[in-house]
Amino acid sequence: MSSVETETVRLTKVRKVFPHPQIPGDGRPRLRRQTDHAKDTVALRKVTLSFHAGQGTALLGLPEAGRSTLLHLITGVFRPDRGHVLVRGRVSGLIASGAGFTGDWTLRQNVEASSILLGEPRNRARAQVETILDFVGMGDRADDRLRELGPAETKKLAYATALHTQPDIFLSDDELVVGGSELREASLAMLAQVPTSGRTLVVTSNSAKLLPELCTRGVVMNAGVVDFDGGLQEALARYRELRDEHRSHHSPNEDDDDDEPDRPGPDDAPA
Amino acid sequence: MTATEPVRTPPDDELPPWREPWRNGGVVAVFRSPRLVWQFVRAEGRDKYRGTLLGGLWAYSKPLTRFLVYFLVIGVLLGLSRRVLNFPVYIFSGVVVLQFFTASLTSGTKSLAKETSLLRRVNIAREFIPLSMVLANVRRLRPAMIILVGAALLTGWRPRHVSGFPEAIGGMILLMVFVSGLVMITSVANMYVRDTRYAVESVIMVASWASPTIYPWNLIAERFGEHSWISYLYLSNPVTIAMFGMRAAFWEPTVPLRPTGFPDDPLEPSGVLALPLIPVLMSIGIAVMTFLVGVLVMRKHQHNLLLRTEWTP
Repeated sequence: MSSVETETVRLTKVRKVFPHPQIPGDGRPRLRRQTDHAKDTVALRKVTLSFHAGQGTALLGLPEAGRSTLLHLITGVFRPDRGHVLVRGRVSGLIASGAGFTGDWTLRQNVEASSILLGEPRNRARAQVETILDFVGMGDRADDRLRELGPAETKKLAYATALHTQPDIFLSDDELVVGGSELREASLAMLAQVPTSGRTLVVTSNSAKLLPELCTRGVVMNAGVVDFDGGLQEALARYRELRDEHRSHHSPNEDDDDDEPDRPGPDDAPA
Repeated sequence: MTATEPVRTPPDDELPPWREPWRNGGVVAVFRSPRLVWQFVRAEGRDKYRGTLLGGLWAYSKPLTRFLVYFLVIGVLLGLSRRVLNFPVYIFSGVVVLQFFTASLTSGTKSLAKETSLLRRVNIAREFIPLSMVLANVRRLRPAMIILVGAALLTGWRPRHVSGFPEAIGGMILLMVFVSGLVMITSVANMYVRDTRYAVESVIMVASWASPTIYPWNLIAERFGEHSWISYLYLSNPVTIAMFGMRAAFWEPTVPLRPTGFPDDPLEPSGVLALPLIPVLMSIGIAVMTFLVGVLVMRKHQHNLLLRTEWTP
């Protein structure tokens, strides 16, 4: 790590509440201003955090810990109810994959249009199309319509498009790697370049296997607050504690991990 | 990455200034990024007629059918074609305008609800979505305009008859401003209560009779008086003004000069310029006000839109 850390994302006492949905799946929308807040979801309460250029940070936690909300506040999809979110530079990454995909368009058109929506400058979006299609082995299908792809292939293409964006602040709220082992290797290498090239990387993942390759810092979130902030290995340990605690209260088969099986195996011991 | 690897961290002063990420520029961003608007316009309705035998020809069928029905029922059966010279071009120039208005309003109202998956992903100005829907409908006017010009050519209009074009273009711009404002309001309302789109459909039924699409304006003037407030209210509708503009461009050159264009009705004004000034100014005011209200509604609600659906991240 460089000795001077340059702050690029700053959250100050951020609170975010999701009101009980006004248009529930089945019922009628309620017009009157909501007065009963018992069913509201408090996603984040007084979160203060910073992220730095040249640093990879893992956000660990159980589902609904508030990690995803935190990232959506950084992209600006949500506005904080209280507190401040500030960023320096362009925000994008594996958080908006598939934005702007249109079945009627060719793969080439889709990749270009989606890159632009993800904030890439137009000339770079155009120049990257071939690279992205080759990356997922679809270079010869550039002029096929998107709808001709299967769901797995569409997902792969969306993933690759988002992976190739070069924002100053790269966020990931999706799976970190997809596809076969070769593609996973290449993807991981690209992700690892984000912090080493001096940009900011923030990923939500609990994977003890992948995270050491990308992150040096781990932040554990629990029920909308920062539970732990420090080195990655300590954070992983704290996350496992939380998870086991959670499992002992719930049925043991319940799967609450969003990534790889995250028990550290022999090969992913810390360096 | 290992902890010992050297990292090039940009020094503080190389980075862009701090900003609040939820600020997305709003309606200003839309005007600043015409190419992104074009991207949305192109994405809309491409391959609409995929899988049909006649393909793009269907785009001509809707205006043609509407025209034929109006012409036969109103013109021939009810005898209005005796009252208005070159009745086919008269009604078709109204139908073009009405079609643009109703299509923009219905598709614009649904637009935000249709694009929630995009809104969940990127924080682009929400205004892009309803506004580009209006522009997509301008683009869809082409088949109807081709029919209109063809019919006008057959009945005596010539390409040198361009004196009415400024009125037609001005009228359409006025209508675009008006309908853009409307869809910014209705598309947001539709995110809160999905009843909006059905209410809008009913309002459109009324609106299509509240402008001189298939009957001449002087029916109103005769009944209520040319300078009565009802007539003024009727005339201050931007849809009506756009129709007068369209007729100034394509219908008027095909009929002998007024008052003979209407054998019985010397009151029918020719084009927007012949209308009383007050309702024309009122219609401009209405369009601009609607647009401004739309901008305010969007600005106030754009970060609450997603909270009204069942989704939380």
